[in-house]
Amino acid sequence: MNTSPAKAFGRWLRLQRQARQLTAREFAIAIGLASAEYAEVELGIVEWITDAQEQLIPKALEFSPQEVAAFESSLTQAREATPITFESLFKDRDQLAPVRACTPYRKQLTEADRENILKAVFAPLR
Amino acid sequence: MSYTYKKKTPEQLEAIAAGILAKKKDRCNGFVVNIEGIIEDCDITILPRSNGLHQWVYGYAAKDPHYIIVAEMIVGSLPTYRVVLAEELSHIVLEFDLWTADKLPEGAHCHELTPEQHDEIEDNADYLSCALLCAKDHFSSQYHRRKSEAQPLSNDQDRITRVVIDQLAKEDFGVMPMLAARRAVQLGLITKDSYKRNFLDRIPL
Repeated sequence: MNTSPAKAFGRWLRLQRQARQLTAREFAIAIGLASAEYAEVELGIVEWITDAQEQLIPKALEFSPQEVAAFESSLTQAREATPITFESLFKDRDQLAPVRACTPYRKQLTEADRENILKAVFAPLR
Repeated sequence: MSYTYKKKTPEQLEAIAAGILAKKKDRCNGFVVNIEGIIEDCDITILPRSNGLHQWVYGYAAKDPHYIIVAEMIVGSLPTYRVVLAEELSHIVLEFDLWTADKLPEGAHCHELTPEQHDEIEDNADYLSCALLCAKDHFSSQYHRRKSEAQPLSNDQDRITRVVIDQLAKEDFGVMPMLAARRAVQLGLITKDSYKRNFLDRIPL
């Protein structure tokens, strides 16, 4: 099965970032995205990459001219492909259900908390 | 209740932390452990999410072991964020069998644990996260160094303790002062009474 161009772009960008020893948190700041938005980019949700990020990413990663060309080509293909949504990436919502958690006041989660957590996790980013 | 968690001793937890840190020496910058890097090395994606997630949870290890979810709100507070990540990684390390089975054993879901099991599991994960972020030998040697520097400045031992822990937390290990204080208790550098007097009773939780 062929990998979606958007997922392939996200994976490629992740590898470029990791090769430069940058954490996703640091890189998100460098390109002006919230950490949750950038995490979606690495999963293949490219809607967060606007003109500003298109300029900032090559600078932040100090791309060579060849890497800039690869970046632009891969991004174009990702944008032309069928858009990916967060929900479509995790068709089984249970995949992201909490197993162990760090909670305020070390409270033990209830079943209702579990459902609220999944609702928050799967709600589109605002 | 079929799930059994075998509580680890402090010695076992220290050995687990030392083993991980020995394999990840390249992920240490001075005394600061790059917990985000270690997590990525384990092929785990840190997935910040918003939409009020912090009301219920600061972070969690998801059923799919490739994801640790964190509330985006805490990502901006680096010492807190690092502690949450270390704690979730600790959970995965300590109960790895939960993630290798197709299905969670009966009674192992977080809401199914007995209060005693919940406390034991959280105590162990908290201990291991402290040990991962504040390596035993480094922490002890820095504590003694900082204390000997601070000693001439005051006769008030509680004040010295607070200054030293604050320096260890903020300047050396990149963690919250409360975590550094807990680590100092774990290693017998300060007493539980001193911890309670200088940290627990002073900072509203």
